[in-house]
Amino acid sequence: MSDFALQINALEKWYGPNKIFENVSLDVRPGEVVSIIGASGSGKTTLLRCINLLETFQEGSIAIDGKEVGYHVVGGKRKQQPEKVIANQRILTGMVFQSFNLFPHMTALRNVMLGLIKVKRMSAHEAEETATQWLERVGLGHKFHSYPSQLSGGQQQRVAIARAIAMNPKVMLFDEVTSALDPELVGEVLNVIKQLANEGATMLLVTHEMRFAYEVSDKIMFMDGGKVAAMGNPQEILVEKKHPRLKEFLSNFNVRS
Amino acid sequence: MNFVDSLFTAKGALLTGFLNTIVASFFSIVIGTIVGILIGFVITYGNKYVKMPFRLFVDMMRGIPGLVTLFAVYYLVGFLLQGFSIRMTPLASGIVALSTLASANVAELARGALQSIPKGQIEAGKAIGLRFNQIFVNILIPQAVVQMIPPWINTASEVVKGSTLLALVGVSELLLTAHQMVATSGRALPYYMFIGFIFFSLNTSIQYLGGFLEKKIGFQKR
Repeated sequence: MSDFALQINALEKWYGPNKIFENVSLDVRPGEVVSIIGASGSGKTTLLRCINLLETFQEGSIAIDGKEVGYHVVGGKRKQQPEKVIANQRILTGMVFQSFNLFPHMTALRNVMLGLIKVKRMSAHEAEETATQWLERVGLGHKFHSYPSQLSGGQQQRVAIARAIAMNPKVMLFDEVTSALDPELVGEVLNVIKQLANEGATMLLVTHEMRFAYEVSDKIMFMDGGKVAAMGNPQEILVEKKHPRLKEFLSNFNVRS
Repeated sequence: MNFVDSLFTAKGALLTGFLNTIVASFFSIVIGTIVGILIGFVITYGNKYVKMPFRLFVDMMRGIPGLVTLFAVYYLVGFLLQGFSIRMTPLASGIVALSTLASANVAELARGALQSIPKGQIEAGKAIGLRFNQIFVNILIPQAVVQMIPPWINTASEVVKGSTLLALVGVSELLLTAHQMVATSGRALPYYMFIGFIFFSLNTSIQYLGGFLEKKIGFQKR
């Protein structure tokens, strides 16, 4: 195992002429929880999507568990990996989306089993056992056979978390996973994430839940205008607010800690 | 001779007419659906140049009256095939024309259904390591099929109704049979009402079949 679960080195991303972010570097050790905060449009979500290879990036590199992903050098030129390789590298990360994105035509159980069967090549029996265990761990032991439309937002998001982590990724990526939820459902999802963090999962969270970020994170990264403006432990970032833009950004939040 | 007796006397002709309508409709719907879905895939996922001829085909077929397509197939294609000493029967021309029309409609339905599936579904599939063909088979197709059923029922009904056009190239389907009975008896209304009722029953059966399919393979929707 590599010393780092995730290493991002001088990452740069453009959409046509628009620079989304530049010179983003980050090291995450196994078991570490890192939160990314910042105003909308600061590049947080795009960064997460680059790590999951849902987005391309133009400069820099991403290594997961010591292996560079997404690109390789062929004859001195940087080239995107073929689809098959990228699909395999995506299993190294588990992504949870803001809008859940559960498969509506499958039960909760089938949602979790799909990747296990098609990608991990488990037998149906083995996949069902694994999926059952994960659904129980996110507190949905009684909802195996419910379709997404029969579940609340919070329950759907917990299925989505089970679906991602059942693939046994090296790093879990959470993209504003509580932003689409009714306020009373946020807690149940955050509790599941907290529980996974306590059990030693490596995580990267994009979040606006400052109190939660304070409690759960080992490190917080503040992005501003496509750059890493500040990085430090929760105390330094959220309480001491060592950066002028950070103070301005956090004044919009009520950090009760 | 009263109306019911006349139906009895003509039962052979009526049965032939009924079978011709059924055969023409059935094959046109089946062929049109299969070809249409394939064209739908191409115009949804093909690259610009592959897409173009199919796009043109779909737009043309949807813009040209069905009768014109039928005559084009009957005279033009029939004439061309004669060059290879193949004779196309009127029924075969009719099936080709109706399938062509149906395929253009189904292609649009398939494209609409595939494109209406949120991008997040593809991304969620990618995120668990599925390749595009796996996403297509396991995630896109099942959702698209469910969405396609209601509008597909309409297309199927249109084909059944459109099969009456085949009378104009001499296929003895229901309408032509009724015409002949009207000509012999000198009375129009009962015969046209009678075949109207048969068409109504056929299309109602299709509606029920569709409703059944929707229940059978449909998934819970909010």
